[in-house]
Amino acid sequence: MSDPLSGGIADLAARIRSGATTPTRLAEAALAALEADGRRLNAVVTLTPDLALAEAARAEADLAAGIDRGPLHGIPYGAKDLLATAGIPTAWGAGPLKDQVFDHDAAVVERLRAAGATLVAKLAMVEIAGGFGYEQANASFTGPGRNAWDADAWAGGSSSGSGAAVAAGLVPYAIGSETWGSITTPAAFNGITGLRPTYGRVSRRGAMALSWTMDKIGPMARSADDCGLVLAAIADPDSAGSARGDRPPALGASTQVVSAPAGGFRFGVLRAAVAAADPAVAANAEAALAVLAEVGTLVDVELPDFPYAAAASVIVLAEAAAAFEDFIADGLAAGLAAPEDRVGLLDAQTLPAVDYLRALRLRRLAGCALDALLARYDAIVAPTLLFVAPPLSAPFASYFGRDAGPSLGAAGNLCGLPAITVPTGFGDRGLPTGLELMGRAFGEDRLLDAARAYQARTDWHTRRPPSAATTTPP
Amino acid sequence: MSDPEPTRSGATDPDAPTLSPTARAVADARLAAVVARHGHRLADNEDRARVGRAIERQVDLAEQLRRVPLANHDEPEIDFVPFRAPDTDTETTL
Repeated sequence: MSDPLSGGIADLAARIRSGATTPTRLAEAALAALEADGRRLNAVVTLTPDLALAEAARAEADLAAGIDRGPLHGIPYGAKDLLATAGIPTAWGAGPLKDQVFDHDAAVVERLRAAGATLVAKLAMVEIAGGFGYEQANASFTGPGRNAWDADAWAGGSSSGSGAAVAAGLVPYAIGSETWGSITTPAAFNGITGLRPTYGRVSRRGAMALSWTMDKIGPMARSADDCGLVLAAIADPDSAGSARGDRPPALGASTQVVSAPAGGFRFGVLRAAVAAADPAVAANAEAALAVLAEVGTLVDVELPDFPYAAAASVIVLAEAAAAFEDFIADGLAAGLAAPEDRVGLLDAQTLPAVDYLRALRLRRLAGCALDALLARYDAIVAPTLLFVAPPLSAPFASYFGRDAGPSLGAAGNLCGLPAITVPTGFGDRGLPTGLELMGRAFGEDRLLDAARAYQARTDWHTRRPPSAATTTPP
Repeated sequence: MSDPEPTRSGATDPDAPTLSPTARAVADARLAAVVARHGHRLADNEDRARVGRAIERQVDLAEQLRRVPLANHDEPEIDFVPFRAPDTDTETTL
């Protein structure tokens, strides 16, 4: 039987409007798939059937009344379990908070409801978004996030459930968050498309705060088209959720038409990162670069010389230590899943303020230098990760601890820059690989255009794991 | 005053940063502060060693930051906006 959730958002939206399916049928299919495969992948924290079916019924009633809320109308989605949902537990991945219930919805959830979307599940995540320094995959009260392509491989973090659920076809899209790699990593490891918006582009109101100056919320979906549609719905730089008072450039309409700049795209290639990648990852990156060369020019670049990782680390540690000082003081950290997390952030309780401020001062200089480089390109590209998803049993030190060379992740997250990761094929153990495109602040439109151009010439984003959901509605 | 030879803690940890004696003293002092405040949360020597290694990494990170020259006018990225509640119709004019 065909998968009722197959196809992109636009396809599902067309099927709803043609009468080939209904929001209720889609919600039921997603709920059934999440109950079966989502549980198997440790991707689900809480299913929300009552809410989902009520929202689906409202979506149907609205359409019957001639009210069309746009492309997400009637489409089911999952939200990372750090986004507040009124009356539904929001555990932040942490056992000690599994009964935490807020009386309000996060701004992103509100905006998606206004767009007619249907929330079917709160999706699993690494405890406290990884802020306590986890060193292995088993760091969530829902168990280690399992990869949609190989259940014995890690799904990545911290948006583990969002990545696995989208890849397995359990939901058409999900919402993730990133402080440093938490969207791009699970997206790349699971072979989906993930967009990290510019810092401040999407309101963080109602989201768990790990790092006030680095947290971002963004879409994880099957294609750049779908990420663009979701971003257009959730982007809302309101003053309550954004640290910036100035209003960023508006997003363009998501037309799903590839808009290449005159003369083609200009890509800067972080060649040192390609060279540092595992052979299969590097080979797939080279193949992806050959595709990008069909739509633009490629120039090897180096990032301006700054200690991006050191500055980003100091900022995250200082802000997380402050944000969770009471959590630690109340003894709640002792209940975390990963042993190393139980004493995590104690070190940062003594991090000097001058170190934090020095990192913030350096961030401004690094941001200016990076923008000067990015102004010459539509995107700088590099392998998203240098390796495929590690086995669940592998300590991170054997993967992430090695000398990684230059990294878009550290620079981009430190400076609040947007990035999108697209699947580029498969590497060791048949697991997905990805390419990251990073752009100027508030330059999501151009990144989406470039990613659409790539995906118009490749089909990696259409591949699904053999076990992908074919569950039919009850 | 310059530091003599750097030292590396934890001979069993090849990833441990190499710290100067001054940085080592800072790391030791910070660990002592953690133990004073949170010692009851450290179940065993392994926990204490784990926190100690994390502090050493942070001290090393801070040293990396200090290698970038900054001028007095290089301000931190802080978004501070003085608060003023929205005006209301009942506000008294002074």
